[in-house]
Amino acid sequence: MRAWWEPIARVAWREVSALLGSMWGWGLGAAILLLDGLLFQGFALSERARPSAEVLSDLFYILFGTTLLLSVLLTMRLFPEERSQRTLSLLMGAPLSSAQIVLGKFLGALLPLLAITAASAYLPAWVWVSGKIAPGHVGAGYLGVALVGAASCAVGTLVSAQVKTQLQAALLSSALLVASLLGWLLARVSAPPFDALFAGLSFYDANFKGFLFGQLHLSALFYYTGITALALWSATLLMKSRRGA
Amino acid sequence: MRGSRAHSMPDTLTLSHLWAHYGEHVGLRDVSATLAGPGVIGLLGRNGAGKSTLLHILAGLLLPSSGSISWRGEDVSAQPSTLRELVGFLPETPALHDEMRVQDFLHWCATIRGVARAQRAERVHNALRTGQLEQVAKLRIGALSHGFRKRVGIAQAMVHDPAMILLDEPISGLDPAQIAQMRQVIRALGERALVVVSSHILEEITKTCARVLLLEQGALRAERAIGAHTPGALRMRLALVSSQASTPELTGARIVRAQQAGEGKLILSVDLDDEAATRSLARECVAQGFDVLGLEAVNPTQELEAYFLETFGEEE
Repeated sequence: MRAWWEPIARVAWREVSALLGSMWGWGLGAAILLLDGLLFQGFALSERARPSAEVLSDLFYILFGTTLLLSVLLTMRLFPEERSQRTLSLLMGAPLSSAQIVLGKFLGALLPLLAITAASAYLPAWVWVSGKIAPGHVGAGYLGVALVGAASCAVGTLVSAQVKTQLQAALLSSALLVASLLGWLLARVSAPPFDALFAGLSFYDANFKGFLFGQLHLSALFYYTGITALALWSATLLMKSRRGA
Repeated sequence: MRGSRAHSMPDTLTLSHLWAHYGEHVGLRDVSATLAGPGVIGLLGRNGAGKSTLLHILAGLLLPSSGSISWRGEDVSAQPSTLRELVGFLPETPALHDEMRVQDFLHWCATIRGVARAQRAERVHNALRTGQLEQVAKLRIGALSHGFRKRVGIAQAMVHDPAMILLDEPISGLDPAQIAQMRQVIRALGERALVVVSSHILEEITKTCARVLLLEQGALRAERAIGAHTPGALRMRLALVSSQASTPELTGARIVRAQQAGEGKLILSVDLDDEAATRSLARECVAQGFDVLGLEAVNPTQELEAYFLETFGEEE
């Protein structure tokens, strides 16, 4: 029996290896880590002494933003690059289901994102050296960032599968992610019950804030996994409507 | 795999009333044909005739607007994934991942096309051998010449041992030596699978294909056996006169076309397996009561060109 997951792994592996073999991949990883470091230095660290938990919260706030940026830059290439290189027929003409193609591409963006995010672990280690941190806080923070990364990669995969160019993918993904962040601002200026509604739908605010402080809320877990599943399911359905399986 | 040639049913692809509409553009108009394999079948037509559209539909990359596709008598139009299992496809510009090494790329293709792990190494080896790629197996695809890239494209199309191989303009951009090698590869594939070659180069069709489908503006205008496509074979045109309406019985020759030309005149196109059969050809005709008016060797390319122009007319 043919393993359902094996082609998914091979599609993802090709994405990852193409990234590892390119200047773009290494450059992107280095740029994001540099940005993480600069923002951490500029905003999280200060002259005055601060509790380590507060510094960690600032770190995860920074990682939230850079993860969104990274997801856009990683997913914009997934399908448009294959279209421009005329290699998409290899996947579309293979006896793979649309779900396998979408999942393979999604993992091909998510795995490098997680690796680059994990490489930022020197920042909490730095806090740990100079202060005192709770491993649970770090774990919850990174879990939140990973969930945000998965959701934003899924949205990026959905967009990437629909558009022709990388620029279109980047602009549309960014627009969708910014729109999902706007709930945060709308919640601030709305009256009940809409404030809670907008806050609950926002990528940030009610869903991510707990992770900043090392809290894991099931509602946030469901929210991000729900967004991920919805976006991947939509991408699969749209692809299926075009290729018939 | 459904496309395996171990299957007992004949490899027959039946297209029934295929239409392809893309917006206001009509890609295919009511195309019906039966393609039997193994063997090489040509798709001939001017640019924009619908050759690539038909190949993309057969490869499961486009869905037809209506009509059906059957393989070995089973309707596969509603199951594009079944069609994709059956087919290997070389687009005009080969779809290749330049950053990968040839061997790794073929392994990757074998995996995503469902070749069992235990068979992958052997299939990759066979594809490398058939594509004459052993010497470049460990090189990056991006470093290969155009000719080798085409052959890697063919190797990826056959690595999962499909029952049907679709080649879109396989010789475009190749130099004469590469064209000769490509012909060998296509003929070798045609011994094992149903190979459909799209081209607008008449010589290519006559040198590799046993049969040709002529497309114009998305419609199938004609179908014709070519014959004499194998090395050493010979196509002859024979002009006979006889009072009888029948054609002569010939040994060592196949009549591919018989045309009455009036006043008892009969024009035959025959394929001979070798030149020696030419000598007995006229003798056999005379022995059966036919008068031989003329016997000449036919250049299949010129013959197809004449037929092409007769069918489509001169291009404006």
